[in-house]
Amino acid sequence: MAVLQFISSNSAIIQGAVSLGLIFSIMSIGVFITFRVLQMPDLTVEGSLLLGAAMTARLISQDVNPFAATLAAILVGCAAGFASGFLHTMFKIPSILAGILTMVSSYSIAIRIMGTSNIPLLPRRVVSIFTFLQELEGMERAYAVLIVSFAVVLIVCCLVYCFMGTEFGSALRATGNNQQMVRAQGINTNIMIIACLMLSNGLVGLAGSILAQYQGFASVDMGAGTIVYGLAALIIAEVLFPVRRFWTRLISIVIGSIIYRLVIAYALSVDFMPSTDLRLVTATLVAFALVLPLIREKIVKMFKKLYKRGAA
Amino acid sequence: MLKVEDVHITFEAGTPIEKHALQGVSLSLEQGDYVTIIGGNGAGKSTFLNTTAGTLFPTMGKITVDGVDVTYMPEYKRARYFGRVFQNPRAGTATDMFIEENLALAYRRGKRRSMFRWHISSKERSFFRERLATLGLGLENRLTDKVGLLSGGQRQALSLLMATLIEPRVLLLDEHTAALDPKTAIIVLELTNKLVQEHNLTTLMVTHNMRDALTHGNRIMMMHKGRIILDVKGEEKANLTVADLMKMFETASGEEMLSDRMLLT
Repeated sequence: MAVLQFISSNSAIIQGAVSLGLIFSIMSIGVFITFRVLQMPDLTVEGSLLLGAAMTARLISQDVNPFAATLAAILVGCAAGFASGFLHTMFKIPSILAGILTMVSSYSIAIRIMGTSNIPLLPRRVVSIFTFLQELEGMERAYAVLIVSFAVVLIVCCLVYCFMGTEFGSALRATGNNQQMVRAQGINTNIMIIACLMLSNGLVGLAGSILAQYQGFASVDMGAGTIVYGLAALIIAEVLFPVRRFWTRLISIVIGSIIYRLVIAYALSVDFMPSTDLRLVTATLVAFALVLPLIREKIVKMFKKLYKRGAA
Repeated sequence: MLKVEDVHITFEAGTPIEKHALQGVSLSLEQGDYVTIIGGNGAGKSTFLNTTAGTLFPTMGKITVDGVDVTYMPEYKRARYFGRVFQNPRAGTATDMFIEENLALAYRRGKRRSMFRWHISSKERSFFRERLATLGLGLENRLTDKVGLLSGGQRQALSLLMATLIEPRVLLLDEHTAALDPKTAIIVLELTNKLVQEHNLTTLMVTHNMRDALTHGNRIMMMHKGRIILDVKGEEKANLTVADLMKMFETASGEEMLSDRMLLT
């Protein structure tokens, strides 16, 4: 009941949550590509989200075309992914540490890009990738955001799906599975890892760019917690929709991301928790989901033991 | 063909646990040679195979394939010359991917992977179905099953097919039946023979099992402490018995053969 009431009286909050869910789903797909496809947790995403936002904010504030600014954000994300991949493959630095190194340095780089610790982009005055739709159709900004983010998500899903289906993408997926086998098939696993990190972080950079344009500012604390939010959406998707086809998995991540944002919006608006608890709650959720298979196994074992004792 | 000249490899050089795992291995294969390599634990069989395939690099020596020096060529580059099947059935396949995807990966061994071509074509699919049918395991109807669903024997059969899908210059088999139950091991070995004969493949097969080593192939080698101490081929090899082998081992190495595993199998 309370939920229904919430829905009917808070359509703006829901609209905002869905928009955020769509925007962050691009990031979650990026996390999915490293965490699930390559099976390598990559912390670079924390840096590339920030870099994407910073790059876009700086360029837009200097009257660069917002689409060009968005493209630049993708490229800077790719560059961050390349840096981590290069450190990991060429110098054998453990992937987590390589990601942390890039993440830490991207803080400084973001400030260099922006020239300051944050850039406000007053959403009503500055152009963004949403404004062309507003001008064209005289549409309300909130709707323009929804439509543009939805279109971007759709394009991203299609491109990622097609890419993973190519010869190169297939080799990339195999690299996450079994590097020894992949090398025996004549594939350079280092190139695959670097390409995967570039793709993933390019997407996260794109998410950062759209996020900055949506919320109307970029600041240096934007990236923190990215990987956990990304994983949360991913895990919600995997628990609610245990699908195995690649394209259904992509769609489930988008839905998972929206659900995650809706739940957060609800929890925050009914004063269930202060917004500062968000990270703790999300991290707990992710930790719980990650140990779930182990707990399940333990419980099954316990029941088997009990059953044996009962039988004897 | 494959030529190995005086290859040495030392692990952990300069430390108390230094191990001189290959101590001057030389070998020259002729087209169509089917060599079985036996030896006890730690004799250097797997190390030798891995050095040939490029998983390990020698500290000294030279390896050439058809006159091309591959001694320090990275593993993925020299994969175009070698088809490999590993001991661990998990090692040769991508378990989360479909059977057809694994075959498609193997079908492009040594070729550039395009970002603009689909990973499998319908023509290839029917070709894979045909090839799978020759295994006689019913896999031809399971093209879109994940390899993780297959048994160890089925995976090794698939790995063999993948290794020979593009004819390799040399087929490297690293105890590829050791992790299987005896019955499955026989099936996989028979399949190995069939594929080797069908394509007249040059093959190096490492095994723990003396009887397998004697009954398969046209040439047998025995390794001991990082050296090849025995190399018999043709007629002479065909007439060898397990007892002969043990005697030859004792005279060649000056030691008694103690490995239970080798005696019992």
